[in-house]
Amino acid sequence: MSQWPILRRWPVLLAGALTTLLVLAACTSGDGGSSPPQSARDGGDIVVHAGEPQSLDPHFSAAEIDLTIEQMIYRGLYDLLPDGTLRPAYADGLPQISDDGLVYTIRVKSGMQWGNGEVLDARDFVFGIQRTCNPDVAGFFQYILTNIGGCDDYYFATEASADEKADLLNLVTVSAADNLTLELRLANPQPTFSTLLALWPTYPAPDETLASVDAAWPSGADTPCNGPFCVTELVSGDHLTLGRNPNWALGPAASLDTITLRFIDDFSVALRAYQSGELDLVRVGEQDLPLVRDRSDFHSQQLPSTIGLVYNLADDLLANDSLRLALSRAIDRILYAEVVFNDGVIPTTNWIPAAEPGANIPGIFDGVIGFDLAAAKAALEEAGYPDGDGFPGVTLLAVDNATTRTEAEFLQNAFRENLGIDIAIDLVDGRTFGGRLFEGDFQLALSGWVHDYPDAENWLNGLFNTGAPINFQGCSNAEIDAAIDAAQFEQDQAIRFALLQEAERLAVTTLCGYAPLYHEGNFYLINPDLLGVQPTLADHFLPQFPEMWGLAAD
Amino acid sequence: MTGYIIRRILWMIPLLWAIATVTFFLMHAVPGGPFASEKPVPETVQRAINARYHLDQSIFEQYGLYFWDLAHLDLGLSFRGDQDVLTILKDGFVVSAQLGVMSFLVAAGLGMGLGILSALNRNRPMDYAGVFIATIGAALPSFVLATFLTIIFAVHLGWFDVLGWEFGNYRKMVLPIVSLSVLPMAYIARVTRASMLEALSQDYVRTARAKGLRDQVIVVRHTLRNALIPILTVLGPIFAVLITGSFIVEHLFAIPGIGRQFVTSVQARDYGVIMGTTLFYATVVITANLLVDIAYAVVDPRIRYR
Repeated sequence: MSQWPILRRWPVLLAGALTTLLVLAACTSGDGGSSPPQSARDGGDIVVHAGEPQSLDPHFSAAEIDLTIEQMIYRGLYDLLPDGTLRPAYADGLPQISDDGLVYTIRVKSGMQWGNGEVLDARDFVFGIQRTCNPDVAGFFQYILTNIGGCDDYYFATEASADEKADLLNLVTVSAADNLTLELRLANPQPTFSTLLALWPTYPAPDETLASVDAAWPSGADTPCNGPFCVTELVSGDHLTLGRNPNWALGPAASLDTITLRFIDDFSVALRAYQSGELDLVRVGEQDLPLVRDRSDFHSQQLPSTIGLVYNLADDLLANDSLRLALSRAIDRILYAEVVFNDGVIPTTNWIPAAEPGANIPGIFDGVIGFDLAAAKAALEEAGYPDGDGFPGVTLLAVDNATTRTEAEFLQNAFRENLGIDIAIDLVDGRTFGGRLFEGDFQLALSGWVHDYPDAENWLNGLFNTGAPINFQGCSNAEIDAAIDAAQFEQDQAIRFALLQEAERLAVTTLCGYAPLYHEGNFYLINPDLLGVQPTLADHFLPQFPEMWGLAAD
Repeated sequence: MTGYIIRRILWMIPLLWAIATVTFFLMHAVPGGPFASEKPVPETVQRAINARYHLDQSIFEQYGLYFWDLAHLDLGLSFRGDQDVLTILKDGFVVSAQLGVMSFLVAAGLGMGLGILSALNRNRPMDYAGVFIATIGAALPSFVLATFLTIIFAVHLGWFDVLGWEFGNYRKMVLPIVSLSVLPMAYIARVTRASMLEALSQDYVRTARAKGLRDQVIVVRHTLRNALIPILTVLGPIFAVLITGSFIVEHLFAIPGIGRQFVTSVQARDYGVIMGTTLFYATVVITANLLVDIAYAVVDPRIRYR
């Protein structure tokens, strides 16, 4: 399915993406640093659109905006490039992995410092990983490190005494053989583990600043930093200002003097502020796309996210395979993207976006679960409701905002017109939605997944295996379980990807909880004078690598 | 009078306790918690996070803990960055109060002026113009007005800024003040007009005119003073509402005021901030009502409190 206007320019985009990669590669020669474009002048201040962070503790936080800011003020062992490859950041080369795949040895660059001048060495990385595993820090992304020996036991010991926690901490198999050598021992060989070493749960923690592994992460201007920028000011509800890190040594110093992130909840307000010249970079909401998509300063980037119609399989009605198929096949995803999103999303029947390593070919499931009116009606008849007769009704749970409301109404209308059945819509706020989804208190819902790291595994493991922690839709399929389990520790990449593709095929074609609808996109307006901003697949709220940004020379 | 004021202040304590208790249980009764994000997290993670913030305790234990801290004037921490709720309230209130006081002065000044002029020129063009303006002001939602003002005067003309608030900087002050003051101005104008017309039809005005007093003296010394009582009744709550922030205006201009904090905290289930802002709002409204009651006695010598 390539009806998205941006996809009509697919060759151009592909060429652009390759150029971006080449530019990145060119910028990353040597020790892995990167530098602003040569045409940028040294210095300058910019103001960009952002939201207010909940926490800048990389071992705890999960919110999109938190991770965005953390990418600006912290760096880990590796940078994860848009194509999924690793570029050493504080690591001095790629990890050395033992023959059995269990022990990872990573050399850390020497002479590195935190923003406040504190020495940054292997012990800080040990401390950081220990924090993520710490039960009192209670990090959202601890499950990413579940394969590090002892991490789970320590993390789940919330009720343990201080002494017991100290004992469990010693059993977490991360250590510093010396100041510059980090050693990690896994419980099982994990092919994707190197990728995890580029993510925020493995970022370092300043062991001299923090009194203990569970100490509160300093905030405001005291927030530790080892990235190109440091927090210089945080005004609650208003803005956060970043200034250059004087001790940044992973590449040339950043070009910009300051980046001010203005907290703006409403994308339309941010757009008006950009138009009046108060912002240099702004995220654009889908509702504003028709106003800006033809401008030369408009930039778009597909996101690693899929939104779908979620079926609660614990519900007797939706346990019916034919009914799920009828609902999926009654949705014209192309029309959906056009009407609801002004073509700002990519209609899909794939669960895993094509850019993810290990994904299936785009459109491969169109013929099975995609829009087909005759097939939808036949499936509904097979489900026992010919032309919708006798259908008891079902309720769609969705977040109450303008876009999702339109989505829900589109689906309601599609099911009424195409199948002759009525669905009710239950709109609730985001937190209520999350709570009800988590408790299984829904029949149908609109929800999806954004990857934590680029690999098909992250789209399946934990979401579709029986009893998995995030499998709130109640998917239970022995073949899916077997494929995911086999892939988890498979060392041969080709075999692993084949297993994951099979797992996705089974999950999608059996509609095991999700009928994929679309992949989301990020849309920006970027001041033409602001150079070096490269939207990537790994972005959160804003593009990464602000050390490459600079203002055009006059 | 002093005894009355002391009694009213003492009554605030059980009243605030009742408001806080109802808010506490309502807040926890709403589905979804502060960390129930749309992106699901494993149940084990959710449990660990709940333990970190004592959300794993029973509702009554949490209630006891909160009120114990409250008795020690500790409003707790926000789930957002572990910031002190008192600091959030203080910072937000300073901004909202500046915006609110300025808007109140504009709304009260223009509203009363418009109402008086309309009443004194009843059924004449000035009256029609005043009523027209008041009706438009009352009918125009602030989010529509603010959006139009922003597009015209900030985006196209570049006279003012879209974002933020800075006291003393006209580029950041004019549009939020106008957006916030138009609705109360219209309301005050309508109340003033009606009250003035009522006062102007009283016997004592006829008597004053028969005595040959000038219109200016009649209006300022006699009519306006008597017409003020109903106007004061509405000015108190309007003042309280304006200084405690308008979510819509603060949202549309990205102003870090207390109104925006309140709504954001409800959406985020930031329990500490919800409780803090609710108690703060309640205190301001109760105090404003007390001040209005006192003002009645000042304006109308017939009113006496015991």
